[in-house]
Amino acid sequence: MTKKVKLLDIIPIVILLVLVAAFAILSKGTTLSGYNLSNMMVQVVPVIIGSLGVIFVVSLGGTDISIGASAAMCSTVAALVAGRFGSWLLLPVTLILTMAVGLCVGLLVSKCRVSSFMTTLALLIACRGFLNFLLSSQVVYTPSGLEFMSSTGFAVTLLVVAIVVIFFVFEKTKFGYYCKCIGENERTVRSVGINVDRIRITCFVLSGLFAGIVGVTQMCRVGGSSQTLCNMLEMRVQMAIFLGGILTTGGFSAKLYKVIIGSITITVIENGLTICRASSAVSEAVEGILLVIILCTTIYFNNVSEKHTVRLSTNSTMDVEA
Amino acid sequence: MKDVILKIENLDKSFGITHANKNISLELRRGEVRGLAGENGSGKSTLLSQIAGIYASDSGTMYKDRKPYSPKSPIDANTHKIAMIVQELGLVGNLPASVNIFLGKTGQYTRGGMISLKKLYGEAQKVLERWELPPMNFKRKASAMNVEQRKMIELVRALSADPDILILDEVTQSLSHDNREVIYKLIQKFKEEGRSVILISHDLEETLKITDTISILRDGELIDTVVSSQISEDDLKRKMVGRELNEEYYRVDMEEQYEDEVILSLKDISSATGVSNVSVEVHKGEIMAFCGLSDSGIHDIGQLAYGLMKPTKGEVYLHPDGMRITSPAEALKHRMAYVPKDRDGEALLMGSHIMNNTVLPSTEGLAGRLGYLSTAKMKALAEEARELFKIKCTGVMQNMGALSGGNKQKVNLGRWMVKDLQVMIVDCPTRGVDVGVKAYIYQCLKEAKRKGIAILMITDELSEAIGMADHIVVMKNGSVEKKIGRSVGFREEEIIEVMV
Repeated sequence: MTKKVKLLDIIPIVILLVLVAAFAILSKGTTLSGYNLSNMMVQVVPVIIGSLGVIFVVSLGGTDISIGASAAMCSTVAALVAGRFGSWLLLPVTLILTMAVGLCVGLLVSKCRVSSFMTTLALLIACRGFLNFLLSSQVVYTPSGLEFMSSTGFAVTLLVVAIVVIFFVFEKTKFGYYCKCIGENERTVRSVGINVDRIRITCFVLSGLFAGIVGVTQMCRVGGSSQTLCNMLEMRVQMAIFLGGILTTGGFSAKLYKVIIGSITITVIENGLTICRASSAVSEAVEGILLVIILCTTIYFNNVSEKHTVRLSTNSTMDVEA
Repeated sequence: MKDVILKIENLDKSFGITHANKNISLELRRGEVRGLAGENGSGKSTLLSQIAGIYASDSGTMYKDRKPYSPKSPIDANTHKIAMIVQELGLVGNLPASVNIFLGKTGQYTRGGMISLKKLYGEAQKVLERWELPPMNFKRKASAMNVEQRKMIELVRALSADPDILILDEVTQSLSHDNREVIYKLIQKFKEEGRSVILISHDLEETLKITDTISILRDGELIDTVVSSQISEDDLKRKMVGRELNEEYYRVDMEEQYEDEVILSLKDISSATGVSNVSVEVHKGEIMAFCGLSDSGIHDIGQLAYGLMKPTKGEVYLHPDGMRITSPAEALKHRMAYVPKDRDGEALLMGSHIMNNTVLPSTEGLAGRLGYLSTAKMKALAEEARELFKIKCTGVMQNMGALSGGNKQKVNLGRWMVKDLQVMIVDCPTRGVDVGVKAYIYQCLKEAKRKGIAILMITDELSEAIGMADHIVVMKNGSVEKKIGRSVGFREEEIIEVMV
């Protein structure tokens, strides 16, 4: 059986290759130097790890934009705790806190039927606010003895392990399958007799778990907490997901390799602009414009390919019902 | 001879390699009620969609009132006084019914960018009065309505265009007895006013009863157009499938046949939706059919029994262990099955392929250690269902959206039947499928009955209940009005009398 490759699945890869080539030419090869590649490796790790949790929520058709703020706040609180009771507490306390935050979001979204976007947006503001409050009266340093976590070797090991585990859970287990089914049609999954709420809550907890991992590793890299810790992480992750070609409606279009490609793409753009010496004022504007262009291209080509896809169903054009 | 209102010449339509309609020519006269008959996938819906402006035609011409007519959109068709109600629901869930009715035509009710809902309600109300339709709540959001209510809203939407030609694609299939009567009366009114109707119904008895003429399609070709009063149901079936149909249809025995053991019992169940004090016991190998009008609560019974709807009073028990069912998760775990009425909206994952749809109820059993789902096992299960149910498709990886109604329903039922079940709850199992698939589904239900599965069948088709059930439970306004056993002899008139 020949497998049909959809255009939506290829475009992100093509775009990534074009970007890599373009930046290599513009920077006269600097972007591909060994030093820069290892630099990019370090930059891409938090985006990929962050998106490993968010992909579950996105596959349900929801989103989680609180991860950066939650990671920063929880790791800062944990650093305070660890500073007093022992360094080893940093990781467990952060993870417990971020997972608790995820649990709250999950409960709100599934039991009170608030949209995940609104809930996590509110949480983003609240967490950033609380972080600023914590940092207004004291300086928070990373507890000593955790320097190993800032090494590139540790980051790469962590990345590989996390990808392998999530690949299994997301692509190969019934849990991942249910998540995608819910994204396709929640009513169906419910009427078959599967506990949708429990799955949804678990997804947000997972999203929190990975936010916590990013929070701890970032804090160890920087050496302490600051207002800008994990700033814009949620947006990078969101962009990674859309650049990778996953639909906002979730479902079976959500694939792990797509977020990895998307994460690399966003890192290539950010890194490329820096290497090409765009001033920070210009680079964000350029980044934004580039992203819009890329997303428009992706969607345009996707629509073109949809038109050529044969659909026998007489009623496909009439399925306006959500 | 009356005037020709619509003339179609050599209409042709292909979807990629699929030739859906081949050079179709027909004429429709004023005041004529025309039925279209044919198996699933014979091109009926496509033809109607072309007339109603949903699909453009590849070639051929149409004339409305002797003038060339080539609709660019359904709204364009409306301005030519042609309106269609499509087979699957086409309403925007988050908008109130009234806005849905005038969707795309709200311009005239808009002041300064704001739609006057009041005017919309008024206009919608006028349509009701004009056609003497039963009252409806236009303020309600479409998503809060059930299939039947939404269908009636779509009817009002079609009528709001003041059509000369009304096209109904399997409309009565989603309606219960009382609203079917409404449609029959409406069709009668259309005739009297010299307007025309084209309809598709898989209920051939109904088609013969309400139409003047029937055009028969097979594989995208127009085989024949016959006068309804001069053809028998069997002849019509034969022309539709193009071969002798000698498969057994309904049950032939006239006795209740089941074992003594009670499998499922509903004890004194009431619900917030109006079901009150319903108690029934379904035995091993029994088919119990629920019949009733649209507000009788028969569809709620299925949801209550499967734990999808929480009862305000009473319990559902699964025997022999006396297990209480309080959630669909428990029902699934204890080998119960539920096939909802809204096939595309509630039962299937329309955006995905056959395999993902087939596996869904069996996932727990398929999953290995750590919840591992092997693709090979999933595929094997899907293949099994495909072969068992003779699902017509290019492979189990084919998208659901590309399947015909009958094949979708086969997936919907097949995925449950590959499991080892105790109880099956089926809500309108033959909605929107042709005679061939219908016969097949009845065959499967009989087989399930023979295996000792307790079957709770909720149906809007009386003939189906009469043909298949051991007991028919007739409901009215949420309570059980009468329970009739097969051996007593079911009579359609008697059941209708109890229903209304």
